[in-house]
Amino acid sequence: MKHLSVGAFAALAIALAANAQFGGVFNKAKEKIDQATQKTKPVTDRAEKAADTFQPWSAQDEQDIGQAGAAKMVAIFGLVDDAGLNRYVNLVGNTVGQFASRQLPWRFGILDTSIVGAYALPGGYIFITRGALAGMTNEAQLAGALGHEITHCAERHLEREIRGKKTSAWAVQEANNAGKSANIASLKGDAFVKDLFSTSLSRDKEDAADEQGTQMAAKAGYSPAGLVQVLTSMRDASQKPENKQMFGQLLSTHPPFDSRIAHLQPIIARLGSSGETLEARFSAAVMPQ
Amino acid sequence: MIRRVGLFLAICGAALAQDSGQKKPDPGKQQPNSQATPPPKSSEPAPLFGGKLGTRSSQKTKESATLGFNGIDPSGKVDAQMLATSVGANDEAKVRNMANSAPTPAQLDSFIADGGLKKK
Repeated sequence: MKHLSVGAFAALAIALAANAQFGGVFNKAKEKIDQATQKTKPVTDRAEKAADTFQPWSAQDEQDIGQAGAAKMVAIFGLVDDAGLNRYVNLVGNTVGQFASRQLPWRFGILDTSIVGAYALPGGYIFITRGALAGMTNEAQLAGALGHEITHCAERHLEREIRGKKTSAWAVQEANNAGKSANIASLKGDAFVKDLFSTSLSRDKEDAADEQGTQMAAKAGYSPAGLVQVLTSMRDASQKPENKQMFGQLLSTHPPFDSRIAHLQPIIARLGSSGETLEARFSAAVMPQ
Repeated sequence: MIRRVGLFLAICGAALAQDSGQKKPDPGKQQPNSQATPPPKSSEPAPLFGGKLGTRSSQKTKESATLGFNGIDPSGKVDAQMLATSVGANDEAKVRNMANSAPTPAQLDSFIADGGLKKK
């Protein structure tokens, strides 16, 4: 015990002496470590933010990003300002939306552009273009097209695609560029819309959207042939060189019409030929005299 | 003097005739051309997708005034300048208003019943 006490005292004395002699060196080393930590912190922050973007978005994130993205779409194209037509498209969309795999507050808008397309944003925001509506002739076709977009939205297809391709660095980059004070939901909404126009969803996601969209429309009582009729009309119209501008965006992000039609044919055959098409109601709402 | 007056009247008459011939339709006014003049007979059906919706609103936004392709490049893609469009308070308000077009449960039920459709 005595030996231990003497040893401990000696060790303490040596340590104190060493601290007195090398204390400055330790402090300098600590300072350098602290400085290095500060330098690497932004990198760590970026990594954390990147990791954050790989998490599935919460319901609130979906709403915020969807709302910001929708505002961007409206800023780009404008909305068709026709209360009756908007109400009609919302009624058809909500009729089909009842059968979605995930319930969201569905909100449908008509983009004021001649290009043919429809777009699903997070949180239940769905747009169809004036050009796409002008190519339809009955309500079952509209139901099928909206069913396709509802599926993209309910199944978080674009969000999954972005995460899968690790392109979510967009959000971090945008946030870094804009500074910390910027509204992150708005930046993510902006980035989402850019991805919307440039990202092709995988073939299986497009097939799933066609398939589930058709099935949802059929469950709602519409003719299951609606979506395939729209695709067939689009295929025929898109083959005309003068329509290149109209279909270019859609064709750049979707599989060829022929393969989508071929995928849907056996599904429609299984679902049968019954169901409503409602031409008169569609014409009255979309093309009133 | 009479000759001069006659010549003046003749010039005015000719100018009026030319003006009425070149008069352009008012773009803000709906032209009842479908009733006044029958559409030209053609063996081809009316072109899909290029048609005009019968929107009842008089308010024109963006492209609808021209039915053109604003911000769309020749290949059909949305151009970078268009994608960079800033969002304004008005755009945000329109998005918030989209919720107003959502039907009430009673309206949806009525729509479904009217079309012979199915409720979940």
